[in-house]
Order: sequence, then C-alpha cells, then structure tokens
Amino acid sequence: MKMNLVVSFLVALISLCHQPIWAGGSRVGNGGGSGMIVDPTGAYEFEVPLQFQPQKKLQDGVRLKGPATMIQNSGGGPFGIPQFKEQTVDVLSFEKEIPALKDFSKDRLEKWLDENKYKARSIESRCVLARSVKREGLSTTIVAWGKGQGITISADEAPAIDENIDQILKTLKIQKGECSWK
Amino acid sequence: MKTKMILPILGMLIVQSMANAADEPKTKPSSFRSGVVMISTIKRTFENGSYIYKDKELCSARIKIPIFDLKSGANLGTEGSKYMVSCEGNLLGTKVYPSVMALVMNSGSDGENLIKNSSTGFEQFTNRKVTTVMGHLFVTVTKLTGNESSMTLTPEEGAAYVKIQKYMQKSTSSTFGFIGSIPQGLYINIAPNSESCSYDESQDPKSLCLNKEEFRATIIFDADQK
Repeated sequence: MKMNLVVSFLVALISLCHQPIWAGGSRVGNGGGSGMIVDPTGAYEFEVPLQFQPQKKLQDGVRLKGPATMIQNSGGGPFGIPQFKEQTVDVLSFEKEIPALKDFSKDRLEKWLDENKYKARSIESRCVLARSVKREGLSTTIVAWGKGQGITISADEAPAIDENIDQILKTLKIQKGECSWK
Repeated sequence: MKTKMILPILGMLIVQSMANAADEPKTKPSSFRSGVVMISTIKRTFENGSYIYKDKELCSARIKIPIFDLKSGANLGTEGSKYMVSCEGNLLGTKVYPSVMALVMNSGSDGENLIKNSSTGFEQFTNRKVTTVMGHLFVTVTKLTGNESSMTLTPEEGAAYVKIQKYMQKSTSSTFGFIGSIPQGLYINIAPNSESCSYDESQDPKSLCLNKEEFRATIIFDADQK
C-alpha cells in the first residue's frame, strides 16, 4: 500500500511537470480571484477561486483546475488508492445536468434536497437556493434561482474544497430579473 | 487365486505409468491466470441525487497469462517482467486512441506473488495511433523483453502472448464493482498523449482522448481459475 502511494505521488509529480500552461478560454480578469467566468447567455457570472484557473470549456459549463492535493477518490486511482493530483471543479448548467429537476418549484426542490441529505450553504441572496452533499469522494452543490435556472458544482472532495465553493457562491452574480424565486 | 496375483501386478503397472507420466517433458505452461482486461472512461455523472464517478466500459476481454511451468516449477515471469497491454479500436463511432498501455509484472517466488506484487508498478510507454475496423476492439497482451522490436513472443515460446478480439455490443456498459472486494489485480497506466489530445469536448463530444483523469484500464485476475 505504501509503495502504491509513493508510485502515485511520483507519477503525479512527473505529470505535473509536463502540464502545459493553460492558454485560452473565456475568462476576463477581474476582482481578487483568478478571473471571472461569465455564462455565454449572460445569466450568471462568478469569480474563479484563488489558485484555480479555467481548464477547459465543457459542453454546458466550465472545468476549473486547482492545485494538486491528495484526493481520496479521484476516480482514476487503482483500487481506491488516494492520488496526488490536481483538483477539478466542474460548474455546469443545472437544467442540462439534472433535467429531471428542471420543472421543480422552490418548495419541491427543497424537499428533494432534504430527501437526498443536501445541507444548506451560506449565500447572500435570499432568492438563491444553495445546498451541498458529499458522496464517494465528490462534492455536489446545487445552486438554483428558478425553475431549471442555476448551476451545479461537482468537485473533488479535497481539503479546502468548501472554501473554494464558498468563494464561487460569494461572488456569484445573477443577471437582473433572472431570479424567479423570492 | 488368479485375481489375487493379478491385482498387485496391475497396481505396480499403474504406479509405473504415473511415474513415467511425471517424467514426460511438458512444452506448454501448465498453469494460467485468467483475467479480464477492462478499459473504461471515468466521468462525473449525476446519478441518484449527486455526482459520482461513473465508469463506462470501453473495452474488455478475457486473457490468460501463464504463471509457472509444472515441469520445472519455474515461474515464467521473471522479476520485473513487463507486459504491454494494448486496447485498440473504434467503438460506436468513438475514436479510441492512442491506446497503448503498459503493465509491469513484478514476479515473486510463486504465482501468487506475481499477481499480488504487480499492482505496485507500472510504466508509461509512447503512444501510437491505431487503426482498426469500426466496431471491433482488440486487446493484446505482449511480454516485453526490453527491446520493442522483439517484444512479441508466441505461445509456443511459453510466454504470455494473447491476442483477443472481442465484438462489443452497442449496449455494453458496466460499472466496476471490484474495488474493495477483489484483493488481487494489476493496474495499467494509460499514458496520455498531449499531442493528439486536443479535442474540444463542447464541439465534438464523441471524440475521446485517453486522459489519465478520465480513463483507466485494469486487469482483474481470478485467483480461482488456473
């Protein structure tokens, strides 16, 4: 087991040394974070957490890459062995990611989140519903501000992941009139 | 009376024939490990209320690797023996390339150690593009000798060389259920190919590249099958 850890660590270290410098994407420098992510439709924007940077544009969102750390379940480790690897945070369209919930009212969504053991997160806007759950080494956050409106955040369960999600939520700005929940 | 005389003679003949049989040279490895090669994508999928890592099998095949020879009792795998496992194919219109994986088998004093120790080491190899018939997947296990030009050994040479062609059904998709339940296994590292991995997921979702974070390949050996 120790040998596995050492090998995983070394490989991660080597691969980090060969990582190309990220160059591209759709961020605009702003504020104290590493840049700003602006939804193509203009529905929302948020600041990239410190030490993170956009890695690539996904079909319905963006992937942010963070500093390497030991991750318990990175999905790629042999036999569940923790890996030293870069954290990734995917921010995706709530409607596209979870179409089954897109027609839920606020009350119904809250009930669903309760049933699935989601815990409330601190967010400034009363309009926005933000809850998280951790399961199998992944943190899932649902942020919704209307039927089918919102984002999902999936992130490796890394040591500082809650602070990074909080930073996204703290800087999240919703376009005026977009919030249909009061 | 005659029966009493015949029985000891028969017994002696049987014992003699068994002894002769034991002395007969065996040219083929007489013990095999049977295993499953699985190469799968790893994606975060929203399922049952939250995101999880979901494996989707891209390729699988059963393989057999000889472990030791009954005649000499020698372990056919020597310390640090290397096997290359490659999975090549074009599945469901999805380009699967490059597809060369490496597997290092660190042999021990017996077959059990060979399997148990092998999960501790792996190497990366240079990737190569492959061209195969669409809908077919090939899994090749090749013993490496340190020289790529002579790394392919045939079964007659007593080495582990298995080439398996398996047709994949369009509906084939499965999840791993072995973690924590099967103690033996080999881990194959997939070497990323940064040059050919320039796809944009948003533009061409069907195009896949081997990326260490998104793919894994595993050989599971069934200890009971010899």
